[in-house]
Amino acid sequence: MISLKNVSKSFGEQRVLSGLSLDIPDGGRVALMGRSGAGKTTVLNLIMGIFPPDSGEVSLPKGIKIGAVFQEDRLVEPLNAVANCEMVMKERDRKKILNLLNELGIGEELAKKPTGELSGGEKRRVAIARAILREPELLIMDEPFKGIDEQTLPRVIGQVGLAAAGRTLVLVTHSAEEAEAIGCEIIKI
Amino acid sequence: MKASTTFRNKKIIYKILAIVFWLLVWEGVARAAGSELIICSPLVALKRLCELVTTPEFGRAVLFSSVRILGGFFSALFLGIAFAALSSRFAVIKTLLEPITSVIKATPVASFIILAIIWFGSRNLSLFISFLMVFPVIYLNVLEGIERTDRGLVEMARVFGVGRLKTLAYIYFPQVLPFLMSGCSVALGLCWKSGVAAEVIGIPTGSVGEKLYKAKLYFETGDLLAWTAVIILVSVIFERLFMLLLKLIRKKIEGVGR
Repeated sequence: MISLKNVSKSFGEQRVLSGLSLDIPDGGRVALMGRSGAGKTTVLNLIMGIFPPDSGEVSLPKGIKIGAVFQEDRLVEPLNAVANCEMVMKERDRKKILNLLNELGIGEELAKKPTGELSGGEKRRVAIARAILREPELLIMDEPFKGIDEQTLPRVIGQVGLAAAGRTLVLVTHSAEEAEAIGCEIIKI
Repeated sequence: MKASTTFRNKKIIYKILAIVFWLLVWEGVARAAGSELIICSPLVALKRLCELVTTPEFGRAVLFSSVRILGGFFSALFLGIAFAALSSRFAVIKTLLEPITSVIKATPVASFIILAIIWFGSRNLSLFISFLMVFPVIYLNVLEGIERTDRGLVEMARVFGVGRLKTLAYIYFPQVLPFLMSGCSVALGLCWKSGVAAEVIGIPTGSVGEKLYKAKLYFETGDLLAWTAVIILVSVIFERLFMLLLKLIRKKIEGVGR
């Protein structure tokens, strides 16, 4: 169970979260929605332990395996897609990486290029593959479908839906359609 | 023929023409001077170089100086990287090293050479001087590389639970390598120049610097230019080989997972 109790967070003068409480059960799928600046990314960062809350409590199972798609792609750009995925995996499995990348529309040729040379949508798909290949217990995704073209989007959403099976998923999105397609419960903040 | 190949061939031809031009200028100056004591012609220098290469002294002198100068370079490379890593982690080490690197950079190399002769004698002088000149260059370049490494990536690795070794290999190494390469490129030229300058002042027996000094002492301009050519050649060959090795490492890293 992931639990936020009466959490507040400010950045300088700006109060982003004020007394937020939220429980996400194990295996639950939630989509956080709200206007820009509502604190959706802040919630994800608090769960990931990137920074602590000013007050309140964030608790999640100790040593939980996390796979994340950050707001930015955070890929090691001199390295290719395969290496970026390998980095987070317990055991190297090139075939598995190439298969998933292929499912996400990244063919072998693209997978061999340094990720710095890929387009925005391609980078995003590599970041999604990396999060899934971590085989996490908790999948955190901050606007994962941003910049992905309409033709590829359904298969990417399909893969995320498959990957979320049996895992806890916390998704930030502006699209209720995307959230519903993955079977997320929508929480407005 | 591809356009890029034609362009490369043209570039090579222009480079050769530029070298020929300056050799002709050298020949012209030598003729104008009219004295081999002041400046000999390129042909005389080349002839002297060919004679030198066949002497047993030549190999010994080149080996003597190369071992020390490159010893200084590799020690500085190793310690520069190690201290840059430590400085990026511990502010106190960075603060402690700041004045040292600034002083080394600002002090004339001759002052260090004279001090080092007083402290250690002249035999391993070039090792110490080449270390001293290379260390700040490598240290500062690598430190900049580490400090410029994207914090977001380090944060990503922490969230994903990536181990220290993997973080080093996959995140720090690819981002620091270009800084290390640029530092090495500068440092390699510097270590030979400063190392040989130290030998000319300290005159350790059997060194290339000693040969240069003696050539100057006896006005053997042919020897002087021949030994200078030797230093340039050895330095360029080593620089090319070392940079090629670094480029191969970079290619290997960029191709991880292929």
